[in-house]
Amino acid sequence: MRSFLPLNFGADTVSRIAKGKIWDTSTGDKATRVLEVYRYDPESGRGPRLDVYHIDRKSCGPMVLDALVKIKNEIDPTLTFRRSCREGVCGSCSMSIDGRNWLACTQPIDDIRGTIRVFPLNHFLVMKDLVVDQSHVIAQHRLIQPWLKSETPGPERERLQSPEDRAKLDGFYECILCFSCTGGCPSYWWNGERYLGPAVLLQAYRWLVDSRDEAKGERLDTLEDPFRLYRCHTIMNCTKTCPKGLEPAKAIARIKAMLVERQH
Amino acid sequence: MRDFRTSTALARGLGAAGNGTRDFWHQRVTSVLGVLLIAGVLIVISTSVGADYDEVTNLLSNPLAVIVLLLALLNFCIHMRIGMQVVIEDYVHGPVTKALLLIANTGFSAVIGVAGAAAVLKIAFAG
Repeated sequence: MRSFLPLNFGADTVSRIAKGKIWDTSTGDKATRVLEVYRYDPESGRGPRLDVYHIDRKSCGPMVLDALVKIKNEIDPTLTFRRSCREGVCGSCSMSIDGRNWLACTQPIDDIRGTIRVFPLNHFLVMKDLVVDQSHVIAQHRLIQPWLKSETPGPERERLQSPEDRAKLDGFYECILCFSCTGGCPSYWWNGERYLGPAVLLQAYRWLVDSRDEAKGERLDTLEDPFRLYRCHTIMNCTKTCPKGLEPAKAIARIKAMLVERQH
Repeated sequence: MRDFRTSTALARGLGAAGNGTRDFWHQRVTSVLGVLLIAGVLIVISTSVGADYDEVTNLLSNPLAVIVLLLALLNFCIHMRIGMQVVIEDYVHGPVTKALLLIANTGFSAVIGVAGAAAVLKIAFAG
């Protein structure tokens, strides 16, 4: 997916991406794939650059993360990125791949035509290369108190929930906090300091809809704010870019419906 | 100046304002009512197509037409005010500029609404 805008359109001088090093390890084989990877080291004193790597697809695993690991192991050990589970459950390797925020470990190389362009997750401040600073969004997640709140003393065994009530969590509890959605949300780009963003609001809804939780009112009080919640304008990038196939936009719409419901 | 506030302090900010739902709901209400009112306005306009000045003033002095036009003005001025407020809150971050634009937005919506109502009433009662 190519943008019609030039790469550095509207970017600050310090953020403009220069052409980087071409690591020409190409064997001329048809199976060679080309990756353009965003590189930035704040300690270098230089701006970001786009390095070009050539990967032999035959000796590389199927996913973009496999290609990045191959680059780090065999070509350029300075390339920095987060990764852990390599199977789409930890959320560490979220980044912008071919113009879309996604997990590198679940993005097949062969699904991308031409050069594979890899950038850090949109919007977040870059710490180094593909690693971004998520401290603010993690603090926002803490703000919604993502744990079961109950004043009634707990039973000796588990807190019971009917299968129907349990089913209400489906599509919401699976979030792995990769923040692909939050990084892809234009409302979060403009007002991320105050707007909680799709990932945190989806998590908030997951607790609001949990039949075992006794703090619905408090939770809604925390969210009822023109900026924390109502910056969502149903742009739907969040739903499009969720690598787990979840629908943060639906969760946000349901929170708004709950707030309207308690007014009338 | 370096900002030494913690992530938690930044995320909590000034706390939840405790509103926003009213504007959200009013925006939806005026959207739905707007569909009906636009239909009413279109009926009034289509009825006056090809009519001369006297026929049009006569039509616009019909109480039903006046009510439809005034309700449409009120509805869309409220809708416009909330919509513009959302745009200002989205993109304007300077506190003074934002406050001035929010005031201007309310003033503009009120002027449009009152001027429109005055025009409708003048035609209805003075021809």
